[in-house]
Amino acid sequence: MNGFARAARRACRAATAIGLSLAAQAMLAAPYTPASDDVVLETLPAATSALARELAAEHRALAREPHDLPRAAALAWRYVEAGRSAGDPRYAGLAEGLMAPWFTASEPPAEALLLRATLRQSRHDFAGAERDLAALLAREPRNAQAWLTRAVVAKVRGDLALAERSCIPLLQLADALTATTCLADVAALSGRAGAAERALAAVLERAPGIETPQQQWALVTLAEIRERRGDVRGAEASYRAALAHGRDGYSLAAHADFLLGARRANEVLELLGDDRRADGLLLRRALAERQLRAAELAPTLRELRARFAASRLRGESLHAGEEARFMLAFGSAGEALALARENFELQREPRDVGVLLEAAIAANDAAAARPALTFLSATKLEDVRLTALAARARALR
Amino acid sequence: MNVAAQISRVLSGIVLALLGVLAPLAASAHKSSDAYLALEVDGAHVRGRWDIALRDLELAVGLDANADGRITWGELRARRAAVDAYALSRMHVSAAGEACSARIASHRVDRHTDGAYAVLELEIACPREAPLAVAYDLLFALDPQHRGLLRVTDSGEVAAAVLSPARPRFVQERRASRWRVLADYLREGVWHIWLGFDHVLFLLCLLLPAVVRRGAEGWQPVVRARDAALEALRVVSAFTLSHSLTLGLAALGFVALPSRWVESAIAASIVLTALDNMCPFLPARRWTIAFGFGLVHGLGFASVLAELGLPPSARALALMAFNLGVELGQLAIVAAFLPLALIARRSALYPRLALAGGSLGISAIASAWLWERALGA
Repeated sequence: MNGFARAARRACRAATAIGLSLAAQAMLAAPYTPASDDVVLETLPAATSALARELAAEHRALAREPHDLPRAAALAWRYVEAGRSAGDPRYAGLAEGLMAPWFTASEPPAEALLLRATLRQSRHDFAGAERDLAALLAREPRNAQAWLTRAVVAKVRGDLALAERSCIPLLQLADALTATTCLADVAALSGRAGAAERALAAVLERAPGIETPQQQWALVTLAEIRERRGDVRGAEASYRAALAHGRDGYSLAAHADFLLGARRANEVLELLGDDRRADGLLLRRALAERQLRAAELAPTLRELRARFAASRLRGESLHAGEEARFMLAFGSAGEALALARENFELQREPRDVGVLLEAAIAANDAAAARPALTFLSATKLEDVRLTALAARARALR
Repeated sequence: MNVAAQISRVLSGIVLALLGVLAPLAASAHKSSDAYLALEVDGAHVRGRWDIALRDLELAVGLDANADGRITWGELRARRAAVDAYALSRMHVSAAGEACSARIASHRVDRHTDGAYAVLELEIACPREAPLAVAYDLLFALDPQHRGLLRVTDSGEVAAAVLSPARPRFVQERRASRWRVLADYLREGVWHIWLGFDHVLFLLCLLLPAVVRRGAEGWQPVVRARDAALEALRVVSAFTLSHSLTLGLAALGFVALPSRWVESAIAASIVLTALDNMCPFLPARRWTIAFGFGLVHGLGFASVLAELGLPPSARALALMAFNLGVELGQLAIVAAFLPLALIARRSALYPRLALAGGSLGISAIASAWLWERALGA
């Protein structure tokens, strides 16, 4: 990006900041005094109270020397897990607070590096996460978690060669299902989707009947590969099998996107139930309600706008890719394109490529589509939807 | 537990974590922790509103007394002293380096996208007036991802900051003094008329014929210098009056026209006036023409002012200073041109060389502008 574009972007940010400070004013709506002492103001998530007591005890312990790393790290991992199941980034912040004595050290211990890398990638600080993982792997080349995390971070950034190199050690260090899923995921994005699908299906068949998170991950990866290859029925079956393991946010969103693509909006609403907490899922609800021209769309949109604004107020753009999709459906093509480009600088999974192509087509901007097209031909990604989009993008002038 | 099983157990955790937190999909309505701190400065007195999430207060001071996972208004009220003590120990306001004293006048409640917040009404008394400094470290020890979203309003000017462990301090910029505003906008006005070549050319177009008069035998010099100067004064005054009018209206937001239209009209006004110098066809006297076209030029000045922006606390002052600057710049041009024209008016070459030739050149330049601005070529 050249200096002018940077300056223009900065100017846009400044203007946005002013807009947001007005939005903030609107968000500080109307404080009230509850009518009686019995009014329930807030219901704490079930996990919070128990975790909070342990957190308080741990912080008291941290005030004393010497610090107990294994104990703090164990609790921090539980926070990471709590954040995952609730889809709540607050827990990641608390885990970081807990680990602060080690994170701020000049040479953090291995366990702390792994945690910090995991927390950094959850904030989309991919470069920071990769630095931590490289440092950790230099010290502990047999650390399976570190290889796996590095593979996934590299995949998200679109560095498929690094992702593949990071999967390979798992063949020795981890179970067959984890290693195969890691490799198949990357291979399918690098022009070897057929072989990847066969390998993954075979290893899933051999896997024991015990339900593990690895299995869910393998199933949702398989579903995505099948969807990209245009195998609608196979994808459908794998998505359902993945969700039978549990309603995790990632699988729900991926399945919802699959259904939205097939214009099966009713089933999206059925799938999502009445869970409105996760922004990503709320976006898919809005897209489904739009397909159905449902009256519930208006309040959903209000809620989504408020959440995007709240996130931008923090100066974060974790949601740029989703905001781009939002703008494509409910805003301007120009805004969508700016967000899709911002997102593509950071993330290059098929959905990121797709939203950039769609935004470039909507804005009729051939130059904007070029990075996505270059990426597609360099990786030989097989994806029926993206192939169609790429053809339309190439026709732009 | 053997090593393989241990690795497998930890890997499960990792896979779960990856599925959950890698994709932005799972980020949720309960966003990272934010608190909203709004301060309104009124001299040495600052009023404030501080919204802190009940979930955060539960972690920091403990609210859920009966541990039933629900926080009631009664539970929040019971912990008011602890909440206030905690909050006030984590935010320090000072004015010009001297500490202010803060107290919390009342508690209320509000909802944000991620749940219920306690609303703390702040009363802050400072020993001196602004500039304010705010030092903030609410929750940072517990949650380094917490952000204090600060907004400071002072005499209509809003400043915003995101306070974080890396940048926990906000210092209010010293407000521009009125003299500073006056000087800055005056200078901008002068520069604009000098550098905005089109206004200079228009002015010259208006002034060129002031020292001559069309008679039966073609152009004749105006006999008395005083009459010529009076004519110049009439024309310049009419131009000043009209462009000040539209400048004021546009700057205050009463009139808004597309800038392409305005810029094209300015170029057209120069072409027409220059052509009229060579062969009079405009059915009006010079000062009327100056007044009419001046309206358009005022809109042009306003768009420059819009780019500069008016300081909210001194809009009228800045507008006046800018306008004054334009007039001073214009006066300097008249003062430089008129004596020369008065000397040259008796020369036989003046009508042909200066008036006709000058106007021809000006109309050519302005035609090119008109082409460029109207067609965007």
